[in-house]
This record gives sequence, C-alpha cells and structure tokens, in this order.
Amino acid sequence: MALIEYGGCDLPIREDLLQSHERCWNRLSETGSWLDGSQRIDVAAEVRNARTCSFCVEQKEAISPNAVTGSHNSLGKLKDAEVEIIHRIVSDPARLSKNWYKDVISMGLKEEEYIEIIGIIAMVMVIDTFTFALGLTNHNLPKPKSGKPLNYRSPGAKTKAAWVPIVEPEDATPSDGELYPNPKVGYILRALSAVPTTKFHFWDLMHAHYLPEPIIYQFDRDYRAISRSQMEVVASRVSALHQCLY
Amino acid sequence: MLRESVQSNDGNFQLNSITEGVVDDQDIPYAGLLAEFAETVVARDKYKIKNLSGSIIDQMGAGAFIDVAATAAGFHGVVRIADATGIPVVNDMSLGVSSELNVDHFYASGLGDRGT
Repeated sequence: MALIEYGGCDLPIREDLLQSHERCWNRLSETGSWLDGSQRIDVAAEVRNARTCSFCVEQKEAISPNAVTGSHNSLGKLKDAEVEIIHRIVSDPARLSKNWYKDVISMGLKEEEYIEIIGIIAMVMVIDTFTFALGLTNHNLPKPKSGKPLNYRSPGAKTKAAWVPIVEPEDATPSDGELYPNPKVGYILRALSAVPTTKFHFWDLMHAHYLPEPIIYQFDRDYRAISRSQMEVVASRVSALHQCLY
Repeated sequence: MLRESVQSNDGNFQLNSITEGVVDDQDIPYAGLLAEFAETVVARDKYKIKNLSGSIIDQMGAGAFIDVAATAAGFHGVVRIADATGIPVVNDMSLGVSSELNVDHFYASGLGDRGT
C-alpha cells in the first residue's frame, strides 16, 4: 500500500516525482543513522507544529531573534535542543548563526543528530510545500518502523569549511557509498555529507524536484517542461525571499 | 545558477530583480508570473495560489505547472540546509553575483560567519 497518494489530484505529476515522494516517506519512517524511526517521525511532526508556534512568530518579527525571550510551543516529544533546532530552521533560517549552532550543540546534541534532523526538516518542507502549491492537504506521516541506529559518521568528515563537519570529495571513503558521483561538487551537495544516508535521502528527493545531480551544472539543455532559466527564476526567488545568501 | 542558465541562452536578465521583485519578464518567458508564484508559495497564501496556479496552467500547461511547483518546493528544503550548516557562501560561480543581487541587506550578510 502506498504511503503517499495523489489520487484526488488530476494534475500530471511526473512518475519520478511520485516515486521519490514514496521513497522519502518510507525512509522517513525507517531507522536513520543517528535517530530511530520514532524519533524521526517525532521530528517530522514537530516540523509541522512549528508553523503554528507563536514564539516563532515573535522571534521572526523581532529585530533580532535573540531580542525576545520565551519558549516554543512544542508537541512535547523531543528534547529542548531538538525543538529549538526544528523551530528556528523552519521559521527563521536566514538568521541562524554560528554561535546559535554552537549553543544548540552544547545543549547535548550530537553534530550527527543535528545533521540528520536538518535532513528530515528539509524533506518534510519539500513534500509539504509541494502539496500546498498544488492546493492539497498534507499527507499523513508514516508510522515509524523499529530498529537501532548504526551511528555511522563518515570517517572523512572534518569541521573546517562549514559549521558542521563535512566530507570533502578527496576525503570520501568506500564505506560512505557513492557520496559524490560527479567531479563538480558544490558545497550545498557536501552540506549533509558527514551523515551520508541523510545526504543521499535528501538529494534523491531533490533530483526529482529539481534536477538529477549529474546535470545540475549543465546549463545548455532543458530537462523539464519549463526551461532551465525558468527553473532558476523560481529557485532564486524562493531563496531571496528567505534572505538566503546562497 | 540563474546567471549561468541565462547566459547559456545568450539572454539577459537583471539579477537584482530576484531580490527586488521581478517586474517584467526580460529574456525569460513568464519570469514575472513564476516569481509571483514563488512569492505566494513562500507566503503560504492559500487564496492567491489557486488563481496563480490556474494562470500558469492556462499559459504554460499543466506539466509546466508541476515543474514550477516542484522547483519552488525543493528550494524550501535547500535554503534550510544551506543556512543551517553554515557552508561557504562564495564559490567559483557566485563570485561577483552577490553585488549584482544586492544581498548586503540580508541579515546573514552582517554576521559574516558562513564558512570560507
């Protein structure tokens, strides 16, 4: 039985998009590298809950996110550090800072857990925003599966170029899987690489939403029903509205 | 990416319109409509999005609309990964683009704490 259904939608959703959503929801429910299935679903539920958090609204409207005090309206299933991460990344990502990152890690969260949580936030944001754009309601979250995380961190991951540890292409090891299938690897493709499955899962979804990794840096051909330039207008405007520098 | 894609088609597009608002299509057909759709998705305006979706489907086709929606949704994830990991902002493709985009007023520009 499919975890994600678009049965009531008469728009021609590409088959590869449908399949990527199904894989995403299935992976969301499974044991991750650092979080178990229940924790991953709790993170996904908190992502949705963050959109109605009154403290997030207060922070977003303040001249600085640190100018207001209070606490997030959480579902009560996650640790304070996890709730803070989820709410800030969902509601006000452009004003995250390196000091904020250090603070949340010092609250007892592992860097690898942080990376896996970012991946879950991003995947849920993508799927939920797609359904919103189509005028549909959110899909039900999947039921968590049992299992114990293997706690895999790429042995090549180093904290140097970014706040989080990342794997530079020359440091990737066979145990990571095929982390970088192409010689040109933008930093956005390296961002989640310390936890390789998180990187694989998010970019598997993005390959269907945007472009497959091998052709991201090919600009002279169109691969979708809209031109590459049209795709980039949409992507750039979304980024600019989020005040994203990247 | 926008600059590269436009240049590969020998076209022109004022990059600062991405930050300041796309008021005309320039060399990218329907750029204004697409930017307005992106704005509506980010604002989660469920009333406006219905009309805009209809406009895109009427003018560009239903398949095109799916790709517009998919791209807009995808970058709601990408921006969060970029901002939450502190990866370097400048790369070989973005050199010189930030001044054209006029992003100096973005909050993170003042922090100067993204990676290098």
